[in-house]
Amino acid sequence: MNTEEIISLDNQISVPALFRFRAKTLNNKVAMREKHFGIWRTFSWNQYYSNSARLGKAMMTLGLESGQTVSILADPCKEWLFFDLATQCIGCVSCGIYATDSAPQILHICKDSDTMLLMVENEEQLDKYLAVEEQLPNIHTVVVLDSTGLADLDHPKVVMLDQFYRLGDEADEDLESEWNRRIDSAKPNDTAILVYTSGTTGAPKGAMLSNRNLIFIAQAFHEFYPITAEDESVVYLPLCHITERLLSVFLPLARCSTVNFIEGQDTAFENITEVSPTYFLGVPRIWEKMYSSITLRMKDATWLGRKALQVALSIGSRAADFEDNDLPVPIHVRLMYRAADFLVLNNIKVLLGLDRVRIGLTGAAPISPNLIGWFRALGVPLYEAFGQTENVAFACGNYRGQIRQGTVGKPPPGVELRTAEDGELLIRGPLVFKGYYKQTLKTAETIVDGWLYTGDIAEIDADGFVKIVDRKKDIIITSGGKNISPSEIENQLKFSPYVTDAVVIGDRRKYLTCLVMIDNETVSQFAQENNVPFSDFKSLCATGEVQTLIKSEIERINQSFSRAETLKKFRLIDKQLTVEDEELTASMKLKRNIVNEKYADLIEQMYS
Amino acid sequence: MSKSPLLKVRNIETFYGPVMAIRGISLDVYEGQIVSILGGNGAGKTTILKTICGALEPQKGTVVFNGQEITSWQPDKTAKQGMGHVPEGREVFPFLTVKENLEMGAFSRKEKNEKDADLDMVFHYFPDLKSKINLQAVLLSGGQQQMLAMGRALMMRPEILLLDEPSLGLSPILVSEIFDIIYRLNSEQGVTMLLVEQNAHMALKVSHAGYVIEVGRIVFDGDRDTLLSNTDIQEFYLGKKKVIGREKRRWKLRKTWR
Repeated sequence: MNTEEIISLDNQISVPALFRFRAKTLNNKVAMREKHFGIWRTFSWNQYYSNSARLGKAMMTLGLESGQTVSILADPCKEWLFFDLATQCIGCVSCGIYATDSAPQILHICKDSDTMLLMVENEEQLDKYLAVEEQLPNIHTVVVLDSTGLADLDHPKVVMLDQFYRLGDEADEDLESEWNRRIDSAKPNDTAILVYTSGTTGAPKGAMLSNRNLIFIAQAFHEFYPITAEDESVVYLPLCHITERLLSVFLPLARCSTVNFIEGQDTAFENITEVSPTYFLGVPRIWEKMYSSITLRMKDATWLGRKALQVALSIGSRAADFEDNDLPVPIHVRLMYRAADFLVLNNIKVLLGLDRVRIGLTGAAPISPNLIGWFRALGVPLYEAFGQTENVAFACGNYRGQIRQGTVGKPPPGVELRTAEDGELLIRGPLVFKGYYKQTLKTAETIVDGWLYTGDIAEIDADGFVKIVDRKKDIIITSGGKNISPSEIENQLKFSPYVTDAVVIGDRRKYLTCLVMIDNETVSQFAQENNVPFSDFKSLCATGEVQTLIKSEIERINQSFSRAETLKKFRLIDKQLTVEDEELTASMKLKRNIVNEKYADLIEQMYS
Repeated sequence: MSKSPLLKVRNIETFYGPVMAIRGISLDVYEGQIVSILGGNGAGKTTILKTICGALEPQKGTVVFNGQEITSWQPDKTAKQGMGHVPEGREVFPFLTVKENLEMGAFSRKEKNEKDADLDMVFHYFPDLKSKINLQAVLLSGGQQQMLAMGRALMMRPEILLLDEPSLGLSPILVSEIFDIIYRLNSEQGVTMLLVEQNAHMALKVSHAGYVIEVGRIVFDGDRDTLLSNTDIQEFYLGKKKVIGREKRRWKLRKTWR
């Protein structure tokens, strides 16, 4: 890695310096919106900066030194960003914790990251801290955002947000210059943030990302996806996930765009419709959900309505084909597309809140190419990109005019990619992270001679497009000796509106099987349409009709695979899983290893 | 249970205008059982009862009672078939006397002496009503009106009693009195009941099985022991709380229903 080369953005070499620069130049431009009692309220760059400064001064008053860690345990909200940037500006390391994490998980992260100050959203999160308080002697202060229900709490370490702000306001002038001094002293190679990886193997590890990493990616992203000060996005995924952090914190800093916070997970789709973002990143689950909501509605539509959509989509798909290949769209196709868009497609986009989307992105998990095709036909420019925490969520991507379905695109300038002998994807460039916090051994395994070992098996074609085959450790080798990529089959399954997620099993087994998680909404509707009696989710899964339905979906998918790759048996997961369950990741994917463990009995049934 | 259920509801969907109030409900009530439907405000509990007895017509689904399909039958026909509906908020005839109200319940029946025996039975369970026999119903207390509404339904010798929130607006003592009578009617007279309640605590005390409804859909069901041992039911319907640190926690845990 060439660390000599200076990477800067508007002449700023660190995130704190860039932040101060933006606040000074953008002033009263809207930086963020948050819905409060049903009304969208705006916050300017000035307020963004001054609130962060108040918090930063309070932190310095409490004696936080550069290099110490501050953790944030909250759902996305404006204070999340205030704390994040306050922490980085005073030279501390900012670490996000999932609001859905349990007390023991929080204990692990706080302990491992040497957290000194913890910000918690509310009573619910505070209780998690209190449950493990004794084991976290390093934490000297806990700041609570929402004090509801805590009026009579008397705890020496806990302060409420308004008290904390006051602490910053009362700081003397020396701290003001100290604040600026700390911003000035931020070095490109300083660790800015610590991001804990979901840890499918072993306990979560903290990936250290430097200012240099972040500034580089914020710029590289712009090369592919030009975002301007007029653009709007919606923050709806956890901010401790690097993807949402990049899009909602670092990208707006780089491009001056505006972010909008959703009210809560339940209202995410409504809020997206209200905001109608111009750039939007969805994990595949979100795109799948949007797709199946339209598919469902169309079932109740008239014959004419269904036909109209079908025709409009086929026109849209023709127009998208030209664009994908960077060819001019012929005039007659363009006219037909205009008509189709006006009559049909735009209505659907408005319904989904995607009518203004210029840049739609999908990442974080594999997605079915059919689904991307569907959205592109609709007129939503959806691009698949690839990234990991270790490379700041962006190593390659498809972009306008450079699209190859089924691949994750090309790397941005400055990023080198190659495959190892066993097919593992290796990455080199200023995007490669510093290493795992306090894990020298793991770091040495992951970064060798500046090359980041991604753990993904990939193929790079002659034009430089990267196709991700699967996670290296997920590749199934059947007892017949055949190498099979489970995610390819799982993606096909997930494209069925009835299937939320699936896990294919078959490593060292005679044949392939799978565990399927059905979509409650669509399958309930199926049951209603066919007069299949059921009561709760479990009984829905148990009905013969639903079993037959999934069986026929699997048989249909089997046809597109070779014989060794066909699924011979399946079982349904008859629990309705939520993010709080350990089986699911924060982006609602099934965790392969946990599922294998937890449903070992079900799996054995399929092989006995 | 090998016997077929007395009341069999399959996949009913009922709308109020464009609003889908119940979104596919299937449930079974066996003879001699008390089955309760639990759920919060607006969950669709009352709509289920109204759809069963015919006051509302389902868009989809079937209701089979005693082996006979009665979907979309008018309430008078379902009543004749043996369904006694005790509506929410009692709805007694205010200006008729207690006796007249009770006789209204037996309106469709012919046999005079049997009616007298039933009247005695009603007074046996609701002694309060006997002393008020010639009083206009409007002059009764809420609890007495509830008793009257139940007595009126019993007068038609129903095969099933559909009870809609018998505890509504009653004092705790009266609530336990009413539920005591519900329990006795079932154990002594073998009256089958489908009971809609917000007071999960009382309802689960007397019922054999139950269904939990949320936004028009069943989220959990089972016999009494299954329901009582479910942590979500304990926390959200029975108000049992784990205590950590401070005395009360205001925040809600999320329900998972399993």
